[in-house]
Formats: sequence, structure tokens, C-alpha cells
Amino acid sequence: METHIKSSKKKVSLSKKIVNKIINRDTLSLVIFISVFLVVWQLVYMSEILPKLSLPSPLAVGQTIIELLFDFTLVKGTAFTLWRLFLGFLLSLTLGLITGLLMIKFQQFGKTMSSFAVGLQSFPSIAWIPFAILLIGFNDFGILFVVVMSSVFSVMLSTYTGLRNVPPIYIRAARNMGAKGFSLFRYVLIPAATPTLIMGMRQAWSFAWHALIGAEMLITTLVGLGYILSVGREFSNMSQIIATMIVIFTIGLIFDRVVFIKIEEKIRDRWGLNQQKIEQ
Amino acid sequence: MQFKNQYPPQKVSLSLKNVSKIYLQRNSKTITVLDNINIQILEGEIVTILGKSGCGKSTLLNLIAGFENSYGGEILLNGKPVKDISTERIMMFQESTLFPWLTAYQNVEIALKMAKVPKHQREQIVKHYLSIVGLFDYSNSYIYQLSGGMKQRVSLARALSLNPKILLMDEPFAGLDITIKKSLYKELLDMHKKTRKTILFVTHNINEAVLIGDRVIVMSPRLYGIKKEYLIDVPNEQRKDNLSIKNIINEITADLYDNA
Repeated sequence: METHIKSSKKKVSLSKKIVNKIINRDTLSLVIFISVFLVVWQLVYMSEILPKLSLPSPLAVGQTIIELLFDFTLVKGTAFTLWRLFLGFLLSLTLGLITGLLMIKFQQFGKTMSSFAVGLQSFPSIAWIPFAILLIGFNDFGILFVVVMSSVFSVMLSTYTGLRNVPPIYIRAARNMGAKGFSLFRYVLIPAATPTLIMGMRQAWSFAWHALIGAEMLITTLVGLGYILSVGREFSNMSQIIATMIVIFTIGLIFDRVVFIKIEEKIRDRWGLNQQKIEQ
Repeated sequence: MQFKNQYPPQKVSLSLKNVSKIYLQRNSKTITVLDNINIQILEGEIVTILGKSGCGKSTLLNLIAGFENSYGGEILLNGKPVKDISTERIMMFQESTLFPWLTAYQNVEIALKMAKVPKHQREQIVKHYLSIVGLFDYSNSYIYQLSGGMKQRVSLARALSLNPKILLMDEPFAGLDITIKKSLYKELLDMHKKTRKTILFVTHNINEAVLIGDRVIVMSPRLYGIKKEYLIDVPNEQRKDNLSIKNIINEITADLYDNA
């Protein structure tokens, strides 16, 4: 592998460079990992330890994925689920940030709210569902409610702790330079809290994602990946269940690796946090 | 330069009259930190305040900067009482207070933004002061890319860019190694020649105090105040290995360690 990369690096052509960027070590090890997984799966399938109805072959699942993609079940489901995720996450961000800021502004409120938020942050998202059904009903708003309740506290707490942990000496220096009120916020507090905020957002995203699939399974609205899963269970269609699980897994992976890791790395670089790690 | 102490500028910049600071503890006991401090600093002068840790020298600086507003006595800057925090009195700290998410250039610029300096004036000011501290070529470096000494030079540029009437320096070079310190002393004195800024410099390092200051004020923890004051009548460039400077250093060392 290494010799291959080295030799191809010498050639300067742009297309080669792009290919090299995509086919780097990480991608290759991922491909190997998945291949091994598929082979083991196929072997277990062929050994007939489990009934074929319970464990279909990788090929059958692949076919189901293609079928479900072509009759737009998966496409539509994914689109709806992502739309709900987007809305729920956006709502959580807005509410969490605003509440977090209020918690900083009003100290006693912040103290009380933060202990509540810690409790509610670890509250199982699925436990919100019966409450949401009776309060709101079997509709999109019920699902959104569960998503928001599961993720808003992470945003809130990271805003609160992020802002509270800004080194006081930064604030002192900034006030000395004439910053107060909004300019102190904009120029110092928010940027200084950003690394913590991003971590909180990443956690909130992952909580929202867990809650959403659960809510879609139990609050039936006839669309969404969670709904496809529950239909698969109704009809004992294991291929459909696994196919949907793969889609859910892929979406999670893409968001985490592509979106959040990239943002986090960029911020860590900029703040000099990665640098320190190397020097130590 | 040679004769600056023989013909001192007469205008008083900062004047402290009977300044006292008492902290109230939780058990309603009081702790006296400063008692009846009287200091006058002339415009363009560098005064160093020397004392062991815990003698209240940082507290004194905090009062002058306006970080703490309850104290006894009077603090006047150019004849006007000091109230609250202001860009007239800029403090430079021992720890770097530069913002790691900004470049050297942006760190100076943000000070001007905070101080509401009009946009069209900023670029020129930032470039001017980064050049004064010799870091113009590092404008686009992020803070973690700079060494400890360079960081403090950016801090100095940032402080100067706000054109304060007095620069308050709270052990800004402590924690740096000796060669870097020496170049920073030179840098500071060169800057002072160019700008004639009034500087109040707090330190626990005797050599540093004597090397930089036109006057050295020695604080005593027992008296909660000033023990002695030394006028350093030798030009900065000639202070190294100078006999009278050595005598002063010995005298101050005795002052600080005779437990009075």
C-alpha cells in the first residue's frame, strides 16, 4: 500500500491527486473492514445456524435496498426523516442557545436550570413518547416534540458551561479594551465558547437522531425510516429491516464523520488545540 | 535620553493619595492589603513597583485599572479621579490574554473594534504597532504559532494601539526565560523612547525593576505599603555592570529580606 501511494505521489497530475485523497489509508481500511464483515455474515448465513427468515444473505439485503430505492420507499423515507431531523435540530439549537444565554444572564435561574437540564439530558428519549402521544397526538409535531426534548438540553448545557468556562482573564482584558454587553459577547464570549458549543451540538445531533428513529417507529405517521422499520417488523421482513438499518447507519456515519468531525477539527486547528497535543 | 532624570518632565500623570484597600472576609474579619499609599508618577516616566508576592502590588494595579472600585483614598489620572475601567489605563497581564482564535493582526484589530475606533483608521494603527514591536511579518500567524516572548510583544502592541495614557504592566515577563526577557526589556525601552508612554511596571524581580525603572518603589508586606523609593539615575543602556546600580540592587535586596 505504502509503496503504491509513494510512487503515485511523484506524478503530479491533478486527477491522481484527487484519487489519492479519496483512496487514502482510512478509506481503504474501512473498505477492508466492511468486506470482512460481509464475508463473516455470508458464512454465518451459509452455515444455517439461524433460520433464513431471521437472517437473510447479504445479497438478498442488497437486492432489497435496490428495490426499496427504486420504488422510492427508502428515498421518500430518508427525505422525510432528514427533514424532521433538520427541523428538530434547528429548533433545539435555537431554544438551547437562547435558554443557555438566559441562564448566564440570570445566575440563579442558571444554577437551578442546569441541574434540571443535567437530569433531563440523560432522560431516555423513548420515555418521552407516551407523553408526546397523549399531549400532541400521532403526528409530526409529536415526533418533533420528542426530538427537541431529547436534544435541547445538550445544547443548553454546552452553551451554559461553554460561556461559564471562558477564562475570566479574557473578559477582564476585553473589558479593559472597552468591550461591554453585546460586543463582549460577540468578540470574546461566543468565540471562546465555540469549541464547547460544537461538542454540545454534536452530542445534541446524535441524541436527536436516536430520538427521531424511535419516535418514528412508535408515533406512526406512515412515512420515515423509523416507520419503514416498524413495517418490516409487522411483516417479518428481515431484509427490509436490515436494509433500513444500513441506511440509518450510513446517514449517521456521514453526518458525524463528514460534517461534525470536519468542523471540530477545523476549530481545534484554529484554536491551536491540536498543536498542543503534538508538542506534549 | 542621557539627561532625562536631571530635567524630568513636570506634568503629573498618575497620582495616588492615601490609597488603602481592605478586604472583608466571610467571617467578617478584615484584611488590610494596602495602607496609605502615596505615589506620583510623572508623564513619560517608567516606575517599577517591586515586592514579594502577597505585598499587594497586583491589587494596587487592579485599583488603578479600575477592576475594583471600592478603596479608600484617591486615584487621579491627569488630575481627574479614576472611575471604572477605561482604555486610558490599559493593563498587560502575565498570562497571555491574546485570543487563540485570531491571528496576531486580528488580535490587535479586535482591541480597536472593542474600543470603537472607526474602521478606516484601524488598518494603519494595527500595522504601525505591530511594526513597533517588530512583529509585522507575523501578522497572519495564529497565537499558538508564536513563542512566549512574541505573544507578549503582540500583547504590548495591542495595549499600545489603544493609545492609553498609562500602561499598567503586571509582571508581563515573568515565566519567560532570561534571554527572551533581555530582548523584551530592550524592546520595551526602545518602544518607550519612541512613544514616551507613562508606564507602571509591577514585578518581584529586583534586576528587572532596576533595569527598567526610572524609579523603583519597594513595597513591604509588613507595612502594607511603600518601604522605600529609589531614583535610578543611570541611563538604561549603561545600567549593566554599573557600580552604583549594583549598590542599589544590594540595598534593595537587604530591604526585601531584612523582615522589617
